[in-house]
Amino acid sequence: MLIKIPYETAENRDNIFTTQESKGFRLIEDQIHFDGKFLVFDDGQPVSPPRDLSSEIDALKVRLVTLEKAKAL
Amino acid sequence: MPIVTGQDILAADVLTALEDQHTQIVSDNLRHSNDAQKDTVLLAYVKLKEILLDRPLDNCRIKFDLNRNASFDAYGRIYKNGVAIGTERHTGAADGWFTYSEDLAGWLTGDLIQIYGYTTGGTCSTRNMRFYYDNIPVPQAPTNQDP
Repeated sequence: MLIKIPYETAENRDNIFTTQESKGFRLIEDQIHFDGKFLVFDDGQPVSPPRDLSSEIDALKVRLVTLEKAKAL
Repeated sequence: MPIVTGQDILAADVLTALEDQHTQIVSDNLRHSNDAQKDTVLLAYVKLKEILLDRPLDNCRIKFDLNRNASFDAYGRIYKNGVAIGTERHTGAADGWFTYSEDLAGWLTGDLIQIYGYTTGGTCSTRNMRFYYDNIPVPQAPTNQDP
């Protein structure tokens, strides 16, 4: 998961860095943009578990065949 | 009115005409990259990476990665034509690669965009110098000039 935290000064930046690092977040980007300064951290965890869509489709096909057989009986 | 033949229209003229109709705004869309890693062990700023612009660039988000080793700080900064214009960045006490991003404006054809770096004792490494922006058309802005 990525989190983006605004900062103003170098001291402010260092405090945010220390705090987030103690929580297990790792700094990946330091931004000085037209709309403000930001630190972007990552906790190394995926945003959501990856879905195996092909397996889900195969399972649905099997279930459909089962239902059709049950209906035919 | 002179007759203009196809041979009279130069590619440079066409490019200039197109540039006049577009401007650039910063975005997160990658437009150009120069990813090779460059290192220095020097204790004063030295040029590590460079890109030559072949057309104007009104606004651009420039990113580069910086890394240190041997527990010595690494410093990096964006330069234009040999003059520092970006904010000085340094890795501090943390190890690993970090990305530094900065929005800058006002680049012209022929400008050199550069990354300079130095180390306080180990090795300063930089890579992934990248430009992010969007081209947007400039709307007509006619001027009323009634006598």
